[in-house]
Amino acid sequence: MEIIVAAGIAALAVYIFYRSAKKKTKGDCGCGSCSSHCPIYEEQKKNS
Amino acid sequence: MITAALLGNPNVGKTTLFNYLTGSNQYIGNWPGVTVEKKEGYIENRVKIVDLPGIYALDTFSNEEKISKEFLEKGNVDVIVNIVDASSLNRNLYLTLQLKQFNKPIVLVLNMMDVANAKGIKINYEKLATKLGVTVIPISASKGIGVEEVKKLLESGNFFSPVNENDYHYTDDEKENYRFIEEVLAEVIVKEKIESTTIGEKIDLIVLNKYLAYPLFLLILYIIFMFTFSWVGQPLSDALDEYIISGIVALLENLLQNSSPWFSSLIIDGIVGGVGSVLVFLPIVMALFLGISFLEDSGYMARAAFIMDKIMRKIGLSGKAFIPFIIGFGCTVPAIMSARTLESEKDRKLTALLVPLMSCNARLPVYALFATIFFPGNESAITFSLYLLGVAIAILIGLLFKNTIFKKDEEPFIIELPEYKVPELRNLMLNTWEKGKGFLKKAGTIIFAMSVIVWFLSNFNFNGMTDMESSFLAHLGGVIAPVFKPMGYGTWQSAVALLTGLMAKEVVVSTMGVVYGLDLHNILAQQFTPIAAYSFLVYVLLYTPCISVIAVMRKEFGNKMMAFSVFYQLLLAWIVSFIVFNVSSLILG
Repeated sequence: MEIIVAAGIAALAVYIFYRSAKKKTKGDCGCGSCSSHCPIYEEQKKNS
Repeated sequence: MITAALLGNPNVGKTTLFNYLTGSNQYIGNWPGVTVEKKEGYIENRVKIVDLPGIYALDTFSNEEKISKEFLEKGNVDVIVNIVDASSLNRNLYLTLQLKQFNKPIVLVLNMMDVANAKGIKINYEKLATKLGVTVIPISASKGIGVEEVKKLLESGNFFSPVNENDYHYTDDEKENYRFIEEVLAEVIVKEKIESTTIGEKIDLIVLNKYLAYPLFLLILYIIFMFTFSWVGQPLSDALDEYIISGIVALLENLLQNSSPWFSSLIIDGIVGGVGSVLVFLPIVMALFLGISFLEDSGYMARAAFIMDKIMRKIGLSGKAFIPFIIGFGCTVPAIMSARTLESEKDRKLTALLVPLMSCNARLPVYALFATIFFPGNESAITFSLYLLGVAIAILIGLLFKNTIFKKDEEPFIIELPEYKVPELRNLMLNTWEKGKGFLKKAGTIIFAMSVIVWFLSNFNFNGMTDMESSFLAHLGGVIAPVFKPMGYGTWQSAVALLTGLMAKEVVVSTMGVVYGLDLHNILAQQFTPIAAYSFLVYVLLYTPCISVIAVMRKEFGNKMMAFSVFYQLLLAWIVSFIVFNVSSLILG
């Protein structure tokens, strides 16, 4: 049971890491701590 | 659907009105340049509101003006909502006259009526509407007064009132336009009282005084750091650590007492140790941004830009680049993006290279952790010194680049100093909560993921589970650690913390939380001397912020600039950290 839970946690961590890394390497304004400034740039991204 | 273009001079309250009309939570600042791209919002899917960057006129060629002009020409605009500062109509109405050339109905929103009233300015709205051929609505956006009337008018779609016949007053002669504005205002404005010097002007005499401006600027920043570390942030952080994180650990230890030691370690050392070690700094991050939001909303930040202009020009940048620098104290990614608004390419590149030296808020948990352990009682001074060091290094590097790879002339900078005001609680709370929310989101995603990955890498090698010193992570850290040995922190743990910190700077703390376990404070105190700890913080301040920053550099400026920025930041961090460690060791023994 512990192995299954640990494997689940590991899989979730790898998935989150993969998604975050993918988002970060795109150069999008995705950093959580700057969220209030990010929407300013999202608009241009959609339009471009 | 009706499309309304929201337009006006910088810092007249466009975003405040936009937020009220659309129910958005866009960032508002009491300083020019907050809206640098257009933003869209809706009133119940019937009216589309487009918030355009603040501009003074439409006849120059700044990026903001290009965006606004292009949208007015090609954006199928049904109505222009021209928001103006009611206390400075003579300057604001120049743009209004220019907007007439687009031959669209104009709703002239007289904002800051409360300020105008306080100055004794009385406006005859009907007469103003007739003279200009527009619909006039007086409001105080910050207090929500009159906003409903604007909303109702936009929803009704009935913009052409009898007075709104698009009489065309605008000519190419600037003097003629201003003469027309003066004539109109002479008929519609009555000044009941004329104060020789307003309170704002009296404050400016002190805060912009050539001898007092810089000491006061530093004092104000220092007070914010005291608020963050000594008065509010740190005590709350300590309470969070003592009552909540420790409580969770005790609960989990109780729940997992029959589990295998490795499983308990994964949950307690890995997840709680990693995420919890960062999460305790939430109050500190929020306190700092409450302080910065206060400065922005009060109107002081524009003064700060004004007094920094002299320094900015010395390092080869226009004062306008101050805005990316201020955003850089929050996060480097949008700061680099906001450099787009600068006209010259050299300005954009130089700004993007210097902005990462401003200490972003992701570094704050690292400073807080080390300052609490190694410099108890002096946390504010230590953190303050790091922020100042970042600025000082940026000035030196700016001077170096200005005289080598970015040779250019100085450019003039015009900034309008907004009225001082008591910051609104709602706006302060909103901005601070946005930062807190972002921090919590980060803790639940990338910091959690990195903590689990670091735990596995620090407990396994090719032969399966092992002790930490033989793990993958120890081997990896052991390869990099010699690079940091001359600075007094050549352990594999420090090396991997700095390496994993490239994902996000908070991960430096969470990695240490995982590899050192719950006894983090005591172990760190044995691993570092105070000088090595400060030298480590200098490295954290100056090395490449994170992979998001690397990616945005590539996206905005290409591979060459990206490679150059990473290389120069790593080298700079090493050199400065080396100097700090060795010079301090020589002086202090």
